[in-house]
Amino acid sequence: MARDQGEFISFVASSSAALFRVAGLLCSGDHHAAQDLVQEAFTETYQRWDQVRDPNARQAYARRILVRAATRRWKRLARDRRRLVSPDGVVSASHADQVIASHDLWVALAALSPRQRAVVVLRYYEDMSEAEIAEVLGCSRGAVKSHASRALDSLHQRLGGPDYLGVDTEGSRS
Amino acid sequence: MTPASDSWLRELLREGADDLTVPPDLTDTVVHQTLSSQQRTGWVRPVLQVGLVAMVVTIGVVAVAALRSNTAAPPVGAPTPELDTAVVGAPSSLLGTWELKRMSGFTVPDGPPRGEGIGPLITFQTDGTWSGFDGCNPVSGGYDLQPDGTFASTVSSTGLAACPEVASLPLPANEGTEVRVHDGEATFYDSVGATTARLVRPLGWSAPTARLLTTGWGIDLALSTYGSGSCPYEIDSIQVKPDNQLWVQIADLHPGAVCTADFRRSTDVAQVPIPIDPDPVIPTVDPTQPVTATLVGLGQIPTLTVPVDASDLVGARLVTVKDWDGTSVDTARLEGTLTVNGPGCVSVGNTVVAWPSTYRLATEPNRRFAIVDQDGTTLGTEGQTLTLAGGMTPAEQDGTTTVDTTHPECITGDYWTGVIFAADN
Repeated sequence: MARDQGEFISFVASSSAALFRVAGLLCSGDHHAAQDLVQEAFTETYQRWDQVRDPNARQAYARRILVRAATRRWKRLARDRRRLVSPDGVVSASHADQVIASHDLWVALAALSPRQRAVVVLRYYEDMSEAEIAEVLGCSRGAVKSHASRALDSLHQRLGGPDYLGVDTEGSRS
Repeated sequence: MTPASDSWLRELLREGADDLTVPPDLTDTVVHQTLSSQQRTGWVRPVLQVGLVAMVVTIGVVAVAALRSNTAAPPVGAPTPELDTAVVGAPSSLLGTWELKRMSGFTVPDGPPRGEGIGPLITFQTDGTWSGFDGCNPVSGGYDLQPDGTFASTVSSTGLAACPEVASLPLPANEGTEVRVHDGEATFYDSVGATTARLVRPLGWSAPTARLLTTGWGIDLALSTYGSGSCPYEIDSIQVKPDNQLWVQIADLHPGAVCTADFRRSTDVAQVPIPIDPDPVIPTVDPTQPVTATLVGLGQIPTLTVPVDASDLVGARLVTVKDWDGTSVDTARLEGTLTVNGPGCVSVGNTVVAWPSTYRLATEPNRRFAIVDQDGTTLGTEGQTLTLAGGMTPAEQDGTTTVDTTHPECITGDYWTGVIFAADN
């Protein structure tokens, strides 16, 4: 696959920062986890390099891999947390717990389910349509709507909605 | 959700993303690690060109004689059969034992009839290894089947010393090789769609059905549901009960609802369902430790009907009054159907009810939820018309309440405080 290396390097250089930021949101601010996800996304994309030739399609493919890897990561974290429950029911603080506790947004995002978090990031950061999100997550548009609705309720409760930024309902800073 | 009302969230996310410091060496690191990993796994492609060949070489010892006298050219451009998307490309669809029936460039000898005696056999295992028997020696190696059907293989062990007459064979798997599994046959295609090999299931082979092989609790799998309309996607927790029933608690599932779901390991591939690992299973079970449980299914999606215990459900909300056993009660009467409202709060008709603290929820065999007293006696079942004694209670405005605050979302206005006086049959 050496013939594609130059093209691949250009692809990484042009898209890695944006993908890292998406990963960072999906990981609630955990830089190390975000970098791992970005690495996984690019590695898998490179493995499909010959099958996905369109640059835009490659970017979408990498993002899809990233989102799904992030979902798996959160489920793994949840499982590991269950394992950390000691006999008296005390949960040990993990590194991830400490990281995500450092910022209101990260805490609020971390409180969402993996799919809710993915929907929020893709819908309100990546500006993707419900149909596009449904395709990425492999679920129905109705499920995307449901996840978005619940996620927004949760974020409203935790962050206070527009008041958090001092934004009025028209979207401008007060 | 209008753009105006969610603009605060967009801005917050943008600010959060901007706060993230992109590692300055991100591009270099990604490129280096990606290309390095390709070099490390580069064995797949080159060996692909000899791997499956060697595998077939070794399992095809019995075919050598026939090979020398009968060479069949592969049909070029063979059409891809209509595919069963439930199994095509799913790694587990190739799992299990296969009998070699055809390979490009040579003819598998008639040999023993299908399913009888020992023919060229290959078994693909869940750990990415294959093993075979060539009629002379055991052979083994590794393989990789991607969800899109891309296939590669290696050979790590052969018994060629005992069978020196093995000859080289043309390549059945080349760059771009794909495998399609359909109707008990695995067909290998080259990059132009020509059939290069065909494997069939031995006579009498059958896919194991889904079963649980553990006791205790805890499943070391991330599962998702892709099931009936009543099944949400998110699973809160999973337990395997001592009777080997799989119990799943699903967030916000309506109390009493039956969720018949496909349980699948979380997968990168949304459109191609991947069955849960089909292989055995639990080597040891220590009841004092969390248990890794594996559902068994091969080439099919295990589908289980999930018992839902309303008292365990996150979505079941029974509001009670603290320290009130219901022995003293107002005498007004409320009549209506026992049900739940939108948030899942147990109600009679449209009225949310705060019940005695001795009441709790249970699940009836017909999956309806029931209210039982402290002795376990059923007082009312979902759908029954109940007559309650009690009275309307105004919502507390000062923040003080005698209602158990476990489910504050249930008490958003006036509510009924009462006991079940009678239930219809």
